[in-house]
Amino acid sequence: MSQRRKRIRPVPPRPIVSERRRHWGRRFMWLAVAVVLLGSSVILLVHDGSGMPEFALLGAVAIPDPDLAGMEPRVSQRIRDARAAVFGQPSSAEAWGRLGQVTDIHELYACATICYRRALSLNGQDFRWPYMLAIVLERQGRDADQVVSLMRAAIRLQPDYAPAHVRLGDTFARAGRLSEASEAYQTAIALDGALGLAHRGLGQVLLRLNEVEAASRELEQAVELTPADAAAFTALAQAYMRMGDRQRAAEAAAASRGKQGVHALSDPVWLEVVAAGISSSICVERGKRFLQQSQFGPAIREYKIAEEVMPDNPYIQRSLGVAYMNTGQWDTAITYLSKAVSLKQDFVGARITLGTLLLNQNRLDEAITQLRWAVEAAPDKGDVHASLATALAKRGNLDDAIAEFESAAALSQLDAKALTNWGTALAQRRQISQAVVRFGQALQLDPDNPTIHYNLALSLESVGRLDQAIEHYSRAVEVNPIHPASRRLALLESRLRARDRQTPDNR
Amino acid sequence: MRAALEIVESQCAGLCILVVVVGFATGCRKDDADDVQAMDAGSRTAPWFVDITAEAGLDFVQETGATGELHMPEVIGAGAALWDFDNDGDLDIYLTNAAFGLGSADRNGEPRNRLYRQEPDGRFVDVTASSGLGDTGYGMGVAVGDINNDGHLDIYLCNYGPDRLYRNRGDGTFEDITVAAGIDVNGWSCSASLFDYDRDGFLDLYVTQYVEYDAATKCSDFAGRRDYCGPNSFYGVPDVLLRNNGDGTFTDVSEEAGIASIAAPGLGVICADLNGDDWPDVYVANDGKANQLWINQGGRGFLDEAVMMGVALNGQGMGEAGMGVVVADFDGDADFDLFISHLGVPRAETNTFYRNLGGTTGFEDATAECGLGASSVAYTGFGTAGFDADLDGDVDLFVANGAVMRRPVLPGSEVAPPWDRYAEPNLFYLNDGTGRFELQVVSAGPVCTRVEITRALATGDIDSDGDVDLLMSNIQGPARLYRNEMPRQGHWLIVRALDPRLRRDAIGASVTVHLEGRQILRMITGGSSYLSSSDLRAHFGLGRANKINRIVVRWPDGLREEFQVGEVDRILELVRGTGGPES
Repeated sequence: MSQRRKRIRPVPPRPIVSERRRHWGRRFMWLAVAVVLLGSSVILLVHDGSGMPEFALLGAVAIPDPDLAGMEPRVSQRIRDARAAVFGQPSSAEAWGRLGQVTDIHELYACATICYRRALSLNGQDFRWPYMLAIVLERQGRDADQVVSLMRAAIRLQPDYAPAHVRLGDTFARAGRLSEASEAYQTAIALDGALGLAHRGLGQVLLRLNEVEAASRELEQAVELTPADAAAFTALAQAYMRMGDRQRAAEAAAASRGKQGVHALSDPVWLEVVAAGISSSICVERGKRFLQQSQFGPAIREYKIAEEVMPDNPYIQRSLGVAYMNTGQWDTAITYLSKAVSLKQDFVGARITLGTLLLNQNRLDEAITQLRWAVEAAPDKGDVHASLATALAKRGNLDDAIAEFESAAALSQLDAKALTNWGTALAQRRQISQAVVRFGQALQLDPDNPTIHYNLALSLESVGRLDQAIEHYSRAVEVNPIHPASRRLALLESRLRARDRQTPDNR
Repeated sequence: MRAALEIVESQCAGLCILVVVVGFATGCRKDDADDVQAMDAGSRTAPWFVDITAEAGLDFVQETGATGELHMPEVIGAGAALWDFDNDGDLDIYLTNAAFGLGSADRNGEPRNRLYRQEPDGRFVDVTASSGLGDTGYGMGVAVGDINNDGHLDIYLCNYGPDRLYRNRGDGTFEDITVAAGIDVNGWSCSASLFDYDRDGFLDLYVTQYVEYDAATKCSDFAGRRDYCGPNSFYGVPDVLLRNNGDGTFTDVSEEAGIASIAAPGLGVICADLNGDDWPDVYVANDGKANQLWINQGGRGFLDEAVMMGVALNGQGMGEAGMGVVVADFDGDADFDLFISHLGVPRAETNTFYRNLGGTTGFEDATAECGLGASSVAYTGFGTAGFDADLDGDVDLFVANGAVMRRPVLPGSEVAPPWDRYAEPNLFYLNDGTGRFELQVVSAGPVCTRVEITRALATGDIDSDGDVDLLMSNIQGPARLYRNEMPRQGHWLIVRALDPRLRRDAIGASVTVHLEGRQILRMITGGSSYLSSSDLRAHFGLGRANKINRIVVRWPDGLREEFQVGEVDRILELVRGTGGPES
């Protein structure tokens, strides 16, 4: 059918050879003119105002001079410094490569391309230059053959660098060259069997090749090696779906939803480029990643740099608050979170974090203010209702606390802690039978928690259900021998013994 | 190659020519020129799409209301619709405009949406004032459909701010019935689609919601230059499903239908039965997050099965910046595939083609195999449409582009600074009949070589000559109307599917034309792609076939009906109940 249609469609004329030659002749003519013109000046600036790099020419070597207008000062300074280094050592591959990295990470790809090319021409033995050049070209959507050729050149220099094989596999996969992609991923796996992304890549390719069972095996390995990688779970869900196993597909799909996203390739060479970035946006991105990885110190460092440029950005303030909170620096965390809230009054997320932190610090009135605001702004968040309820309960406002716990329970499944606090509030209001129910629910979720056993035992004791009380005191002591339950247990047992002694049978 | 180089040279003079030469000497400019050269796969004959904007009298210019504060809605909006609002048999035009409300106190000369009526001579006349459709909301998308089954097309307007629903009175005027209809969607709506999800005969509305935008938030690019924020700077918002109660009112059923369970930055949407169970599903393109495929649970609600069906993330597991979405049978295997446009430089996403594997197996990312990958990386796609441009019997593809992040100014940009940094050329691909595409930029003409910031793309046969023409909206620029002048590779057919009980177009129906040895499948959708609504009729290129064996319509409630029509090259009305059972 296709062939038939091809016959009836007029074939677009292609440039013929003679035209091409004429064309190249014209290019050389212009080149000659250009050489004459360029030779007459040491530095010639040509710029079309488009953001394309200008060129400062030093002898025969053009050093890109990107338009720095509007950039953050530290970024433009870093580029100037890197550029000055090239001026100082125009035949240094390292200097060119560094300028490439600095411009690359700040998304000045045309400049980076020139610099990496130059670095490569000056030192063809350094793995980094063809590697980074391949990556920056791919990012610009350049021809896959060009990217593959450079990546292969890099691999020849450092054949045992597994991330390069993963990237080569990715390039092939993007270009639809699936068998070559499969080979590249397999090489990466042979070099480093624990490289989850290589297993994932191979699994995805096998899926596209309709080798579904083999794909599922690779993807199962991938999710085991990189359990935070949503992409691996997603592909696994598709593999199961195609195998007709809808149940497991649904489970894998559900697992993918809880993940942060695509797991980043661990690539020390590329990290050199990432580290060259200094803009606030880049720092925020790095900060986010560090936060996701629970690396709070580095996250603070990145966000602090960003804060210098954007001191009034509430999201940066909140992130700093969260990072400090996780390092146990409560007061500093509260300061940042409070600033986030003051900068953006309707910042519900920041208010929730701040309120919860204040609650944990027993700053109850402040906590209640923040959490009340959050509950009004986002009335459908059960956990926030529960936090507010806990703060109210601690403050002694039991009726309001119980009402909030009820709202929380209507909105979401409460955790053991919230159920325990609810039970405690009910017990304090002498609603013992309801309290017992809540403690019982809490124990179902956290059966070995001595505090819940203790609270439940207290409630049971207060209504004279002494045997059950002893049972739960005992359980609390069993889990934690120094828990206050041991004293209550001793007292209760002593009371019971005394009572037994006073019974008529014993007289 | 040569043609593209000439374009670069012809638009430069003096030193600019030197830039090209120096570029060749150093390798820099050559790289930059590659973006253009890579696109060139055609000839320099008469353009396939001719700009008839001026001759048609279309004088709409979108104004963003920008004040330099770089408010995000400025770079998102500009919707378009091709619809026959006056039931006179030809297509009219509706275009949304922005407003001065963001960062400016200037309310004078407020930009308005505009309605253009097509006259018998093919010219378009601005009838905004008399129609009452000159809405001054900050306009985004448009959805068109007959919500009260009175035989007249009504219109839903997505806004940054309160949405609006206008009822067509049938006399050329419209009435704002938003409040009366009980509609209270007041966030940042982008695209909307009308469909009958519960199959009760009344069209319901799915409205994508973008983000909880905070105008005070300032963003910068990776070099620290101020630029428009991206969606990751804000929280996503759950979409909205409005059930038509059949009495002129709507009820927000997002919660009970399950739609509200996911908060994501939704942009494009299309409603279609994607798993073949005769219930319309919803596919939502999210910006930078996993997409949703809401599978209809028999009219009672929806479950997101995008992950399992392979259309949440691309083939490499990346969540992409989904903008426009189109559903069509691109590979001619009688099921519907998906195509989504995405962010290009500097994020380097491709547009993505998901091939339907059939049944309930799902889809696979076949972008590269279909030739749609590398060519799209350099640009940011928005409006997109699949239609048979050359009438050869397969579905070709158009992608309207325009950046959302500043980029180097491209040669030929027709947009004044500072918007020139966002302008990009569009892409047109010809299908070779097997589902493989070839880029045809130069041959397509100005529709692709012109460098603007295009957003919505609506398609339809404006001049009733049997081929599909294009309407595009541009940010801070003129809307463009292009007439299809491609060399014809075959016959054509246009089908309007009507349900007389409902007195309206059968939105959600699919129409299959059976020819000798092949069949061609099309769908009737009520709002799709990106911020746009296209001709509600199904268009077919038939190739060399000059006889139709039969046409089968699958009506929205699943009933299949067969029609014997025979002749080609005409516009047909297929009325439910006048055919026979499927053979």
